[in-house]
Amino acid sequence: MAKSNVGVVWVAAVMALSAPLLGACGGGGGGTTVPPVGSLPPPPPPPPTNNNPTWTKGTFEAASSFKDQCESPRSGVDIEGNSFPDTQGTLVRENFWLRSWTNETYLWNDQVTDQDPATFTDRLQYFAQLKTVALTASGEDLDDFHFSEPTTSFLERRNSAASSGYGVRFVVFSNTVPRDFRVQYTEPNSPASAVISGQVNLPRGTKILEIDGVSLVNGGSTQAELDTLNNGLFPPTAGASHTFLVQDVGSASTRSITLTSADIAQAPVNRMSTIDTPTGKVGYILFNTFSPFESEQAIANAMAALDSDNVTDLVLDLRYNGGGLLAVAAQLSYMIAGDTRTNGKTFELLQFNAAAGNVNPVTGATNSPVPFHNTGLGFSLANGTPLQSLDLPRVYILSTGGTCSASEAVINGLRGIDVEIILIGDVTCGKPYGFFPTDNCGETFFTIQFRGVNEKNFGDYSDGFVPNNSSFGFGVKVSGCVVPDDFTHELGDVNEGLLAAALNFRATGTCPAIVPKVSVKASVQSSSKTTIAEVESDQAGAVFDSNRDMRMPY
Amino acid sequence: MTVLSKTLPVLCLLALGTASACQTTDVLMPAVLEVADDDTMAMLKQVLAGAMDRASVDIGPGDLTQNSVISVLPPGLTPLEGRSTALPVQFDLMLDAGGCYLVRRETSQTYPVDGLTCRVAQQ
Repeated sequence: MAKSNVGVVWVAAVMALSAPLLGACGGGGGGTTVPPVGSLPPPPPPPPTNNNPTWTKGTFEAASSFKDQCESPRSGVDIEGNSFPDTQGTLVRENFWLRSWTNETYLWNDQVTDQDPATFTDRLQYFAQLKTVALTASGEDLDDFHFSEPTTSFLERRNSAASSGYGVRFVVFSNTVPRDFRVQYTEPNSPASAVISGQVNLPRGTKILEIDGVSLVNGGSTQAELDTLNNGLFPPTAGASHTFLVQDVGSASTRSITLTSADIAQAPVNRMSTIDTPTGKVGYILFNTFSPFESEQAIANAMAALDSDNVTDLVLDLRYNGGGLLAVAAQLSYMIAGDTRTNGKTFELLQFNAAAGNVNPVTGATNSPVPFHNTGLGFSLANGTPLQSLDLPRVYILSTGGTCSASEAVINGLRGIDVEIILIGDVTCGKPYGFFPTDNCGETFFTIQFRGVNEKNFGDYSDGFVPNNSSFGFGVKVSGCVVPDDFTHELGDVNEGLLAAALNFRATGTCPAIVPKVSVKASVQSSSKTTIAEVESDQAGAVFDSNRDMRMPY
Repeated sequence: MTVLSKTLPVLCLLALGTASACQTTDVLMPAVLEVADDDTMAMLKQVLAGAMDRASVDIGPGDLTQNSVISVLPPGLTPLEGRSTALPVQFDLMLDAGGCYLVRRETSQTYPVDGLTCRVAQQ
């Protein structure tokens, strides 16, 4: 497709009209240029060089001079139909690209030890050390988000809107015997949330005891049993039926259900309601992801409905929301705070490394602040559609360690314009950072390239936002209460622990007594052969929602 | 309208010395599609994909027989992208005597969409 602009189009027309004048002057001419007899044909283009560059400590060539020069170039097109840009290169040139790309775009590029790329025989090992080793105040790695994956995997995941399953997300209290898998939440209109003879298939908190006759609690001693359990928990295709023996919360008895897998897409707004209280209506929204483009319309519709209900407060449940589109976070924040509070204010400014100046070093574009968007942006809501707002001076946010990234941007962005945040739950994950996934030679690299700061230029919350009565001595304290996640009530139930605490805090200004915490991190990442599913499914455990587990002791 | 309307008079002035071609030329006007059937949309997406230097694109919501703004969606996110700055890219459908054009807002670059029928959008 030839690109042009209006100028080019019209210049072409003018030149065509002018051509006779040029001809009249005797200029121009045309036809094929014939080389003089005896001359040599033009030389062929030089072959791609495999000459490896020489490392000079502290001196960096442009990353573009090494891009796509691969030891094993790909050919053809990727699953999106785009041609691979690879040319023949070397491992050393791939490493030199990583080095220069890190120097140009990594947020903490001045904290990376410069080592000779030619001394590394594995690009992933080389990449792994291209990061800061600094710690947060609490002693966690400052950069715990440095990783890569094969580009084929990356592209497959970004092109799979739905995945096969039952529409249930499990929380894993123990992934070694005796295993303890419970229902964290279910998707609306899914096999898991279906009601059969008056009974919801998988209410929140339900414990999974057996799958297809194999004990999930104590079974899995053979590979066949493990396969049965994994296939039942995480069916690879739609249309597969499996039988579960389950035990509901507070029940001594068990029941058997059969679920048939389907292609399920996560609903951004899982549920919402308007809660009547003696002091006015309170809106509740369980908002689980900013990732799919549908999230724009879903959250706009939810907020518009609450606006129509004339709510005077909002409880925004972000406990399992690991983030996604920053622009939708900005829209949501606008819809909470309204015109007056947000007009002309910055929702988030991206801060890149010092050498970048006012330019995004990844895209080359001017680094403009992200505003509180007050209209649709065209993801799923038509561009320019005005957003309704609740005009609230405060918002109650329900949180856990799974409240991450763009969810934290909402908290920070609103704090920047003095909207009061009341945080109910646990310490948030602590990720004020972002990156632009970048492919080179078949591997997609993720390296932290920016930190988001708010209107007050604040973005230092790498130890998370912390409810005010927490004993955790780090992070950013905000108003609110420490409350453990409550698996004994459905989300959105006014008796569910976090929502109940938010409503109580709103009514009385007090927090519930702190109870000992039960870890849900468990041993999901164990390499034991008796663990289930390892990290193969997005459906198991909030620990996979964020790139690191930042849960802290109360 | 952005740079475009300012560009045209300048170019017309340049051409005055050689011809009067610009005297009857329309200015670019916001336009909508006459029809938005599958074939039309496929053709439109092909032009947009070329403009975006991608093999294919998806476009956001909106009735292009009523609205001249086209949102080209960014590639989808993976679960690991918790703070993505991705945004749709906006194009305006425009019309002049030469036919329909797509104008990319952020760059003002235009892309002719040959074979599609447009009409001036209702203001």
